[in-house]
Amino acid sequence: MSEEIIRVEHLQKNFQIRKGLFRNSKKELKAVDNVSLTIHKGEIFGVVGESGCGKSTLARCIMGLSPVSGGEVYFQGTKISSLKSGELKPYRQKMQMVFQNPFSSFNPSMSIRQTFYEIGHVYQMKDEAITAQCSELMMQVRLPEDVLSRRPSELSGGQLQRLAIARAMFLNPPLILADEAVSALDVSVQAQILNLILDLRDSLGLTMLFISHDLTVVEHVCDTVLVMYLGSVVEMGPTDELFANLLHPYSQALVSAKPKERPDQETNHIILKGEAKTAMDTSGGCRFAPRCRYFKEGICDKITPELREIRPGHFAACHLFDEKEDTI
Amino acid sequence: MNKDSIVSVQDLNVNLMTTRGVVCAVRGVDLEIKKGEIHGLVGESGCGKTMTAKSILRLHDEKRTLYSGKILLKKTDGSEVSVLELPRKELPSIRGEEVAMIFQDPMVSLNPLLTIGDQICEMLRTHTELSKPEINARMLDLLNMVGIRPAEERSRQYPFEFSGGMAQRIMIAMALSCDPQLLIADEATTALDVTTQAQILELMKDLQRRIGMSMLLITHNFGVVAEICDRASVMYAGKIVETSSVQELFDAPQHPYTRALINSIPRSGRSGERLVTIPGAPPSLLQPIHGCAFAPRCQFATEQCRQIQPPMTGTGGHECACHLAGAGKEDVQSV
Repeated sequence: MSEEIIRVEHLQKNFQIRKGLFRNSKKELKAVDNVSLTIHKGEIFGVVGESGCGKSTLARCIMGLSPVSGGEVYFQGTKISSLKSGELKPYRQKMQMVFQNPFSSFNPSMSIRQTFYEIGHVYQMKDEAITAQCSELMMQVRLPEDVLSRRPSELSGGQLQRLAIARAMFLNPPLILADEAVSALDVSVQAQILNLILDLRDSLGLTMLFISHDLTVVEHVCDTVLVMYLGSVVEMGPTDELFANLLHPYSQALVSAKPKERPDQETNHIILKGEAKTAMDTSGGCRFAPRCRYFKEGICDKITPELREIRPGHFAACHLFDEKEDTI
Repeated sequence: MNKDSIVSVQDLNVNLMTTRGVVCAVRGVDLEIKKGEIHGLVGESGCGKTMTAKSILRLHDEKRTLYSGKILLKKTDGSEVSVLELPRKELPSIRGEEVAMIFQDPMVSLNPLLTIGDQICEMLRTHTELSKPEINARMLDLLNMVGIRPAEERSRQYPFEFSGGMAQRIMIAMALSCDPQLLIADEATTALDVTTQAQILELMKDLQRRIGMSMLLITHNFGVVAEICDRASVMYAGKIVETSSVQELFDAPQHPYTRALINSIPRSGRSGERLVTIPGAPPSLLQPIHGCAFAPRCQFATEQCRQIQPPMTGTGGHECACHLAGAGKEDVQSV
């Protein structure tokens, strides 16, 4: 196995919610609950889940943008989750982010060149080095160099998202976090960006944490996939293996809910019934239990399932696999 | 207007006056929506889908909008009206009663200060002559119909107490309150999660079958089209480039743009493969467009394409605006 970039162990992130007339009743919201993962060099690691399941909070905790409540984050072997913000600075340049909306993640009053120069100056790069890096990056994201002198308002969404990727790559970071980086784009532009990401992985060995709610996109670009539900990991494994043998009832429902690709395709939507638990619910048991088709009373609502290796490299957190012969 | 059509849009042009000049947002759209069908309107952002749909209700700011062309609407009583020539006073008799519309974000479409029951009742008070208890009963019926239960209790709740999917159900209930003949859904499931989207699509399909109304479904997602539409039109730069039954649109797309668009969607079971992309960018609608709007990005474009705007041609309900209809068919990756 190649070099390890990020290792997350039992990550926990809780938010305090104050409710009531005098804001005196405190409640805990578990946004990320006991998540462990490892990202290797040259790997595109996908995180999928519905809105509010804690995907972005997970990314923010890994980046150190938001302090963790428990567990550890290791970056290339160094523990970074306990560092103060000043001590984090050398690691910040090693992890860069690409955001969802390219139109709002660029400063509208700066030209693209100025944006790049600003990053360079923060990290005491010489002007010549910055210029050289700019031309190099423009070549990698396949944009003409005259784009550099334009402002964001003169560029299209696809061009800006390429520039956002170029900006993230500016300091040659070992890890790029893409938070819903293709969700706001039209399909034809999305196709360009996905191709670009795959090309960059193949040519430069780019390592990426790719967050998306779109299963097909994740299946298309990621090497490893992690499925989240209400803050906890329900299933994790290599993309091909995971999509070929979906184990967790939630992943099955999620995949089956995808609209068909062609009108004549047979579909068998599993429509989720019942209301989801909220992340504030601290009662034990599986978080998916109230909506699960295979709900078993006395087990699923009492005991929290642990993430276990069911098939080689393929993990799932479900009581259905407690006994070997008791599979779906 | 055809006998079985509900809405017939003929050569519709919508020009918007902006500070940067006149934007030709819709350039000659012809669209027929038949009774009882779900018609999809697909295209990328900025291609004029919403502009076309809003014109059916005349929802644009008329101080800054110039319409030309014709929109004919068959009313419930059988009479035909030309929407664009209707006096402003008579517009409310169409909006909500004949044609209803739901939008992308249900949370901004609902009034945060009124209970959802009040909001549905308000709609019924404005458009019908029912008595108070009748209105209340109808409101509860509607909530039950869209699956918000227990209706009595939930009708007294405020929008913030509902999730996005539930709020979209309320919007659907509201849109259906006056039994419209046509429901326009403008990206109604785009902001929702896949599992919720599947629920809402299921609900819309079911209601459409039960009530027998027509639907115009605006989306950029071909999956949604494949899922519930009967026919679909593809738009590019303010024009419809292809209209056909959904099955045929996926089996034998004629226009190079439709083909490229369908091929640019990632599919399951093909991980890591490079997708088909469309070079270039859509044209600016501020300048007049000569010839086919797609020609600069089309790999099959000829001199004729750059000079003459192709008309819609075709038979058997499959029409396409391309001089070379069918060109490069062998490129279609059949799946």
